[in-house]
Amino acid sequence: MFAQKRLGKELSNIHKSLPPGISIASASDFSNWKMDIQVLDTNPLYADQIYRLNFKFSGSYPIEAPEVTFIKEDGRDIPMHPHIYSNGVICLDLLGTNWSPVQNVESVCMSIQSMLTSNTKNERPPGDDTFVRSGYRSPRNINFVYDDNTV
Amino acid sequence: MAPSRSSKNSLQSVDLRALDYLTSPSANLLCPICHAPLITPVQTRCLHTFCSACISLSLERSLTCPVDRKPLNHDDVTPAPIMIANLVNDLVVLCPNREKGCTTSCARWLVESHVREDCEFAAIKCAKEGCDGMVERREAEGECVHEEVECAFCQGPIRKLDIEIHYKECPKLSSDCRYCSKSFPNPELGAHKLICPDEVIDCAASHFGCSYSSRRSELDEHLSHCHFVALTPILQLHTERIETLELENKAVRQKLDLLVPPRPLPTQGSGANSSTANDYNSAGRDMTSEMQDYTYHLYSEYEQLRSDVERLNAQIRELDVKQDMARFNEGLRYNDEMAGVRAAINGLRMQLHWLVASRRETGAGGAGAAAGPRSIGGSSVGGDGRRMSVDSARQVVKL
Repeated sequence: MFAQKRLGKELSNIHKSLPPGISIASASDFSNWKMDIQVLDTNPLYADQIYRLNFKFSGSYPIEAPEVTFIKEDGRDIPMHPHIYSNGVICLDLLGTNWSPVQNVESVCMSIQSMLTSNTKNERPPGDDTFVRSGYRSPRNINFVYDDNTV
Repeated sequence: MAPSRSSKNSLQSVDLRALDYLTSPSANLLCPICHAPLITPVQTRCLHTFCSACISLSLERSLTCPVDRKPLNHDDVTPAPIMIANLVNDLVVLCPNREKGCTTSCARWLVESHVREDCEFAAIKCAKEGCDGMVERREAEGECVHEEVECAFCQGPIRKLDIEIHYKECPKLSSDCRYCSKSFPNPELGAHKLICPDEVIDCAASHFGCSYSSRRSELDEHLSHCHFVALTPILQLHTERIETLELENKAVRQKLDLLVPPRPLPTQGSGANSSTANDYNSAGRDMTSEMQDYTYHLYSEYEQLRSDVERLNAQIRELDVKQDMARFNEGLRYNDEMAGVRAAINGLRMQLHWLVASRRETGAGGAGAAAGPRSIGGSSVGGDGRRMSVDSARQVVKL
């Protein structure tokens, strides 16, 4: 009830206006939304690419962070980034220990957008192969170590 | 005797979070967590305001302020200034029984008492003693509708509330058919209506224009010689054909609209075209169709060019936006770097000043001995003053 009411408000705000490079792909219910994001500067890693983010909300959103991953869909790919595994899982403290209920879908999209914008390394995180093979899909079960403050 | 006030109070509870507001309230009165107007506002030590329930939920998960992430304890949360509470409590809300028909809107702090004591649509306990049914307040004055009465026909126990519905279904109760005046048990009446021989119905071809209507039992005779019925298959066929043709026509018209641009071709151009066409076809053949083909070709090419230009315009706009963003980002970075460089230069300047000052002091000491006591005093005071100012400036830089 709480989560739905708040998501309803966010959705009506999103339909009113969104920052450049962020658009809504689908939000048919209050448990799963898809957002498209695009890096707007000339970063050659992400130029002219659109990426799709999958938001999964639990009943205790916004107290609890949503599960945010990149997904391959409609020809969208997983962006190359030293904190994004090739299965789409994002290692970002804002989505884990540093989540704050003040954040919303729009602010998360903007955080991820700026995370991509400032990146210059065309690489995956170390141990990407083993991580992807171990089959973790849900970021909630992973204890990331947020050690890298350079990106 | 009128029932006492307390028995008329509604037990329906009001969930303040679920209320809808008459107008969308100012963004300053919204809780940053639930994005709804504050309910029992509280304030943190860092002076941020939340709903009491929201911040305690958030603190259960993490002991930081959700807005600025400063450490925060349950004890650091105190009730917000009464003015804030009054502002949100004065917001006008719609009655939670709006879907049942209540049109009341009132200040939020009044809504609970409205539902408890006034709302005509709130559920209150039935006035009869011993009855635990609920009834809407506007119907409470009547007698208790929850006691069971015996159906006069099937002897089954039925609640008074449901008896009207029951009468329509009671198997023991019969009603007369409106047309044939025969009596049927209620559940069978519906089925009978479809076959009642005495009901007056229209001819089967009434939608093609036959105005005949008679009792069902006599209609067969009419059908055997009705012209409309005889024509029905053909009329049906025609109707279907017309429908498909209309659809086709619509599709063709749409195509035509796409092909023919709304603007007429400039007369000058068409004149030139016709004159050249005349030159080529000087034999005087009928060239209307050729001309039209040519014109359509020109039209389509023109349309294509126009869409090309539009597409290019859009691309240019997009590029502009991208370039602006890039320039902005670059500018920010350069600004940062400039600030860093400026700070470094300032530091260097300070050090240089200090070095020059100290050098001058030692130099002045030597030179002053030769020049005389007056100048010694003057220059040394000046040197001290300069050094002090340099030192204080250096401290500022360190800070």
